[in-house]
Amino acid sequence: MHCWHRFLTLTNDSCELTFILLSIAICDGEKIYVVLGYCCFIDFYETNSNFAFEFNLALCCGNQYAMDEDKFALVEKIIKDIDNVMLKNDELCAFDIVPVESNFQNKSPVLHLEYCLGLESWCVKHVYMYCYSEIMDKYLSKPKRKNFKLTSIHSEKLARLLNVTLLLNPDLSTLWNKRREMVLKCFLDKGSELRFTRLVLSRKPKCNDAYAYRRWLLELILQDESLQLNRIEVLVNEELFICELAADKSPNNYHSWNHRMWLVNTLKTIQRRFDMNLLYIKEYVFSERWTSKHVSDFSCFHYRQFCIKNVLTMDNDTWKTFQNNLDTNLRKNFVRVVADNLPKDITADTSEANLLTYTDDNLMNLLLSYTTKNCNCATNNTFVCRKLEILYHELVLNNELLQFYKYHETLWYHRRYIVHEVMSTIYDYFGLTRQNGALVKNICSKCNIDVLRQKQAKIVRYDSQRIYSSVLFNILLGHEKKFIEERRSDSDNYADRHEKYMKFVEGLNIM
Amino acid sequence: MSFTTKDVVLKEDRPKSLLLQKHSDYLASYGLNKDDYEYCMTEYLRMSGIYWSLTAMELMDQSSRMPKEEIIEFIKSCQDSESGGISASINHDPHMLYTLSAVQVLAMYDRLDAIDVEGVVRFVASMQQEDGSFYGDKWGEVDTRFSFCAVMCLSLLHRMEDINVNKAVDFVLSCMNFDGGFGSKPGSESHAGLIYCCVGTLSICKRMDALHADELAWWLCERQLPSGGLNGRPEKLPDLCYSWWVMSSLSMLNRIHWVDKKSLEQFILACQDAETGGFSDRPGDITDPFHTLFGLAGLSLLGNTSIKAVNPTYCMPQETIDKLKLEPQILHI
Repeated sequence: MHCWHRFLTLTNDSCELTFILLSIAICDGEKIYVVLGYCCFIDFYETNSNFAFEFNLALCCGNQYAMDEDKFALVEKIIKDIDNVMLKNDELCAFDIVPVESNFQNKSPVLHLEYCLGLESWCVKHVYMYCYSEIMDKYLSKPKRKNFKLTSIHSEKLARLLNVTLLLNPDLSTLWNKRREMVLKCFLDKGSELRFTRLVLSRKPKCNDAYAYRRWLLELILQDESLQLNRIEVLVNEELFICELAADKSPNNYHSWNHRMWLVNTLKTIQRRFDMNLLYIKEYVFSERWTSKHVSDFSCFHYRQFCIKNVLTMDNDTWKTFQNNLDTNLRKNFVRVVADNLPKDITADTSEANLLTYTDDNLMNLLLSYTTKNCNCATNNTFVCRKLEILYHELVLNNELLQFYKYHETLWYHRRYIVHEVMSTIYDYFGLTRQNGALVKNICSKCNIDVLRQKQAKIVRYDSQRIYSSVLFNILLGHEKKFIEERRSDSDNYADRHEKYMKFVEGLNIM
Repeated sequence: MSFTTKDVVLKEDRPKSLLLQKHSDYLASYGLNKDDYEYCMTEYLRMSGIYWSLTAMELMDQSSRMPKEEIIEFIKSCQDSESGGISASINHDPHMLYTLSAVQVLAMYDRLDAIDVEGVVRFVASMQQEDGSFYGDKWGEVDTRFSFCAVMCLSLLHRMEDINVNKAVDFVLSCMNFDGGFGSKPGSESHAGLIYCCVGTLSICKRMDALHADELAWWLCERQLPSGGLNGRPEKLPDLCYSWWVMSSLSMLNRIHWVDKKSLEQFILACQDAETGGFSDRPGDITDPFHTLFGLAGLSLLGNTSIKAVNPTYCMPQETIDKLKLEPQILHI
């Protein structure tokens, strides 16, 4: 004779559902003795699950979920219950499987609380097996598929089955495809499809099929030229919100950050009256806040790098708005680092206050000195200045985060990017690019390429000397050296690694 | 030091030797119960499941334990006569991922004649876009994984001329990041699995010269954690399958000696389940055919002689690649 006593308290935070389940079961061979009392229930948790289900069904005799004759009727009822909850609640935003090991008295396993839908785990296998085989046998089998005309009655039934199956197993690409076909035939509404996908993502925030489906839907929706601007804004905000939720639920969420980038890039192509600059600014500010709170999540830092690239495409007027929106003065921050790290042999008055009076041209002249490029295109000093301001702001932020959080690979990895970008800016200023450890001259696409081709490839010592003796280069090196030493004295192993990377990969001898 | 690296600790009682017989038994009995819930949940990737199991069996020289004729019949019934593509299972939709798995399986069986090869070529070529990228299926999702599927599939069929190889290479190169790594799309984060796909594409297209080899190899080596295992991105836990994605990439880059082979081997062996057989993602987790293949393939790259040599580009036995007279490029230092 075996005896189980279990007391379970199951909570699901996101749904705020709490179940208290007390179960006592006594089993002797094939005979089952049941002790049932208030709030007590038999649980065959440790026995064969199929058996437990049959047993549950038998036990439920007399209530509305008991259908001895046909256990599928119970599953049908569950599907219908789920459908009802979904129909009644447009705002439904979360789904989860709630761990309840056996049927609980006279209650439906479909749970609904505020904006959350739950399904008790004891019925999942049976519901899934039933729905999946119904779809495969009745709607997707090849001979039927060809001549199958989907009517609205069929489509409603199919949609119900697809909902349940995909909520339980969202990796079924073929079923997502079926939804696409139904959207194209207007059996499913694009807006409610977006809502359904959100439900799937609430449980599986890394489900790429769900993101891919959203992309497909949004592309369709955005194709509509008559779409109102405020409607686009609502869609964009909703999408950003979903990405944020998913990034929060699952760290290093490759798919959600990828999806966010896709959204911004897609809006670039439809543009129309949509204000991209405003979005760039919002995302820049958002990513700064987010990265400073998720210092182990490189995916959000990668997105930050994307935001940096975007703000650098803004025109002069927008740049001013952008600067006014920040709670920091980019130019001042940059000049402060410059003043603190200037090589000692500079003779001019280079106090922070004086440097602030410099024009863009003057500042670039001090930092990189006038350069004769290998093409006739004028260098845009204002643009180079902006880029450096943004990169140095990032570097200072990175200093602070590394000093506060310490020993974070992600933060050091992001630092590599910043230094790499500063170096590329310098190389570019001198008309050069670093490729596989060697400097080569850039080919300017605007000037006459043939003449330049002949000059190209040969990179003379003179060019690299000018770079290495430039003020900005020495400021960068000095600043890195100080920082590495400081972090090393704080026993951060990544400081050594950073130094080595700079030396062997970026070609910078810091120490 | 006060900080903890995200990693696992190998236990003293972990498996320390290779349990070949266990793995072969595990794979031979995997999926015998076709009404099983798990089997049903994973039907959407069945074709790849067959590829993982068969390749693992081939590497152990035990492929006779797989139901060859049944598998070939199954593949035949998964080909879509209209598009020419192959699906994961019967009545599922054709997709690049499963088209590749099917072609790999048939190549190992030397039975490529069993399917409509023209159909497969037509399908793969039809997925290429103007910018050189590839869709996964007609619904238009782009990913560097699909570029790799395309060139691997067509090279196994000796039909590379049916796509624009230069454009395919250009697209993959447009996904390169500052660190030398690659993501799934232009501008996407570097990821060891996708790096394998991109390096593999360049290896098949013989354009390894276009890589920033030192940056990339540096990044790949930094995936190794104190336990010896490898992760796929910074600050993620080690996972056995990255022993393949990272090591095969380093192998194509000719820099496999940049990682500590001994501790990696210990990690891989620790991922075996001594009772059930098979390998899991991390020591103590549940085993599956996917990790079983990449565990064995990883050990093969590390030079374990009780496993057949594996080709780092194709993740198939080297003897199959030789028989097909394929010579994927390896970078010369």
